[in-house]
Amino acid sequence: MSSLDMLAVEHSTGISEDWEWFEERGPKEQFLRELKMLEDRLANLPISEGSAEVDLNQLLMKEMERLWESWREHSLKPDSRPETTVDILKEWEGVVLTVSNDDVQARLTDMNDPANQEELVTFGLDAISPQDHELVEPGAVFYWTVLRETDAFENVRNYSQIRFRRLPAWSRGDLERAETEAEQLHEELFGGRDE
Amino acid sequence: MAETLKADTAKIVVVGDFNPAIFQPEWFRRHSLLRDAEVAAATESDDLILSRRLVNFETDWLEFQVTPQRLFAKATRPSHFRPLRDLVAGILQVANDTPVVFMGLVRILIRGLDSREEWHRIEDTLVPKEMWADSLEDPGMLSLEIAGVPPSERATREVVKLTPFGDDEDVGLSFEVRVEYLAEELKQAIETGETAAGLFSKIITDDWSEVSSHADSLVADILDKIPGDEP
Repeated sequence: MSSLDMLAVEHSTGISEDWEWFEERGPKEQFLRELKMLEDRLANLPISEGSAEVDLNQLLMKEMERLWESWREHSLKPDSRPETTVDILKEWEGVVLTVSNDDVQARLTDMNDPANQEELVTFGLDAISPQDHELVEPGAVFYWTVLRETDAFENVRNYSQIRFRRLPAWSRGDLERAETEAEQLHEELFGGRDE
Repeated sequence: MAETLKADTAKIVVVGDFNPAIFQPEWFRRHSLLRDAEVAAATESDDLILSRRLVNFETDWLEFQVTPQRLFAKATRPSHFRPLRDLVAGILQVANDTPVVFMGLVRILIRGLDSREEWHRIEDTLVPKEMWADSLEDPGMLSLEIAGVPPSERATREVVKLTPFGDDEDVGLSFEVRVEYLAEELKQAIETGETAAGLFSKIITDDWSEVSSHADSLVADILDKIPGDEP
């Protein structure tokens, strides 16, 4: 029996079937314990040429995925049977035009039917989550959604939410790279940079 | 047919060579990819796992997981499909140099059905039992996967997986509509200087709406073609 087979047998008959421990501590702790053991094994794999180690690595990764699925099953989170369903009744994509005092003026595009004419609206800053206030500036994109929520008792709640689009912040490296590219472009076009 | 939409989720899966350790909730705050409150929720979540080979966390609308081979993000509410799109596009924009080979844009629509008869009607239409009757006793469809030409020309293929579920009281169908992209097939665009991760980021932003609305119409179209009750 190869070391790969032995490892497979060990994993299929040993650690994962430690049900007593599993029930005592719960699935997440079991998962974390097994994950740690797998990680230790991966960290200690001999580094040499040949496919055996690669196979072993893949086997361990598969085992990790199997562990994960097993934990998800035991954590009983059936995403196919939510007690509450949420339907989108209407959805707009908006662009902020101006922000003055506590008022935001924006242009809305109907996402249910983009052929509809764009609309101009004004609403208060208090309609926006404080978490997004830092993003509110001319040109910012947001999604305005009207939703209908139906719970397990068929109670219906309609509400709307605004969420601003989040884009990655520019890093110093990004800015330096952009500046270098701009300089190169300027040089190509005009043969030198004006100071 | 009186099917109702029981759940609607969106997933984006990227396969490549990731370093999970960097994708901690704090990284998302640093790059303005999640709200501060969401980062706090993720950090306090019971599902938070931070390890060298696996990072997993959840917020009120997001499930996120990275292993060395796979990045996976899922929005559990339709109102957050666009934020999901922006999030993964943003991640790939920041982690622009990550080697990536595959991406799947996925919608999963779970339809509840009125009765087991309705379920059998769908099953009999899609996979006629006469084909199997001589070879198998009491055949039944466990799942069905069909591949076709995708709605976006940059995608490699579209796969639809249909799985019935349920017991005597509660029956339904899960439609998984997945549009797949292979970096290998986007080589020409990559040769222009774009990295594969950067290209996937742009594709997510460009294609998501079309892929998503295509999934809606595909499911509606299939269900429309199922014969109704016999009079």
